[in-house]
Amino acid sequence: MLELYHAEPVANSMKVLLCLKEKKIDFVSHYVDLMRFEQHEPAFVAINPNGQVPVLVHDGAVITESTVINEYLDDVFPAIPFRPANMVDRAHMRVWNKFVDDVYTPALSMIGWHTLVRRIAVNIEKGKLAELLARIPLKEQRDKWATVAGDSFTEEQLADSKRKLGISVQKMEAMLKNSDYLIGNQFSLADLNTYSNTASLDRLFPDLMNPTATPCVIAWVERMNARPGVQAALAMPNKVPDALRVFGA
Amino acid sequence: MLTLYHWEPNANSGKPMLALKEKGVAFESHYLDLLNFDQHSPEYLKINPNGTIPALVHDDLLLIESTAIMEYVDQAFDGPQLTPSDPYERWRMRWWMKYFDYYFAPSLSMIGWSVFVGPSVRERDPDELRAKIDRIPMKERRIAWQKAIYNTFSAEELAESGRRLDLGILKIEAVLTRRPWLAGETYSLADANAYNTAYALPFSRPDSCNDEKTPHLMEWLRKIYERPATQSMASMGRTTLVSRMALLAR
Repeated sequence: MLELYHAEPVANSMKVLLCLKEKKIDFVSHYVDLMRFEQHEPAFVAINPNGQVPVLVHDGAVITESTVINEYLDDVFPAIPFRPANMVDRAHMRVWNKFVDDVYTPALSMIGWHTLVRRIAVNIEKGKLAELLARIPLKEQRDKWATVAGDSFTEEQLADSKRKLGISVQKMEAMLKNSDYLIGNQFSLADLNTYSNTASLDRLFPDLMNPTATPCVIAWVERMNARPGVQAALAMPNKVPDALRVFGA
Repeated sequence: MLTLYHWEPNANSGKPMLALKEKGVAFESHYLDLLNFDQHSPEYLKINPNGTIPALVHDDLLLIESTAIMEYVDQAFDGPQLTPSDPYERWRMRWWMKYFDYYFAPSLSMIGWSVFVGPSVRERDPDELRAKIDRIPMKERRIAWQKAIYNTFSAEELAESGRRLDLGILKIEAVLTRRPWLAGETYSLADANAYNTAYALPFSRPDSCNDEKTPHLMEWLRKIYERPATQSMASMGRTTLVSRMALLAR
């Protein structure tokens, strides 16, 4: 049996949802409501002690870390492969995935926490917040909640994140100049892992992503949006109130 | 033609060195002196515009990022398999490499840059150092060098890195209590990756990593140290860094 614990079809949850949908693999979906902090509840922490989504459970084996989960899915369900057969392309795919995890996603995440999570955090009553923070297993996550509930990130930190987003989207533009997909002109885990970050970046930062500056990235998002797997993933539950939707569908 | 551009058999440079040695793949070694800023020289930037090491050049193709290079080496060449065949063990291998690359190694690296790299270059001519920093292509690397040279890592940052390391040491000890290697029953790329970061822990974190508190971690380090591939890699070291490995001799 294959089960996925996930939140909205956004960010890291989306990476794995997309991979499963594109591979046409059936799975049992367990929606974890981040707005209600279900990821820090004892029942979920018993599955993933770090209290983070997504988590894949395959015949009882717990598989974590979205990028590594997608490599696992490609190992176990190779019928529709998402890693280039050419080893050099495969290495380039992993370098890109690492860049996404190390630079692109943390930069976008900081801005997401500042603009979206902050609106939730500042409305939580102080005593209640302390109680919620105490349940968070990872110190890094606790610190992030405390940061956005307080003075949030500095202008300098946010500007540096925006700079990194600019570098990320420019890198993509160069990769897509002569290619429909990010690596080796073939749909791969690189595209799956990058979609959620990029799908709405033009609305968030039109100065970084627009038809003049990044025509190839815009065309790539349209190409991705047309895929049945992407549409199926986007149709998964999304309980985030409209007012709080900064990225994603 | 296979050329590896690398520094000492340590951290990121050591990762592909050890994978190549374990595979028994012959390669041309191109040593770059990190403390002389060779990795930012115009000649090297022609090869790798990021100015980072290691880099592997296979025929006319450039490969960067040490862990991705390790996976490439294992798949592209004959020799012992360093990736488990079981998909779940393979996931564990990649999980541990991700953990080291994203979490553990950067924490150890910050401390290493503060106690070793910074002091090693700090006394040089200030104008020369400034010029060397100015030509670094990546902003993140420029900041790391500035912090190391001018000793501006904050006490808070260093303490947080120490906390992460001590947590990581317990995590590694716990997993090695359950199985002989990080991914399972066989030596894998995860062990080769982790060793290059972890080999000096008994020296740099003696209170957290020692025979009494972390016997399984110590045994694992010694087993890796004794492997012929590790010995062969260690013999390529030119500075005192590698001498810390000899502390693992039984």
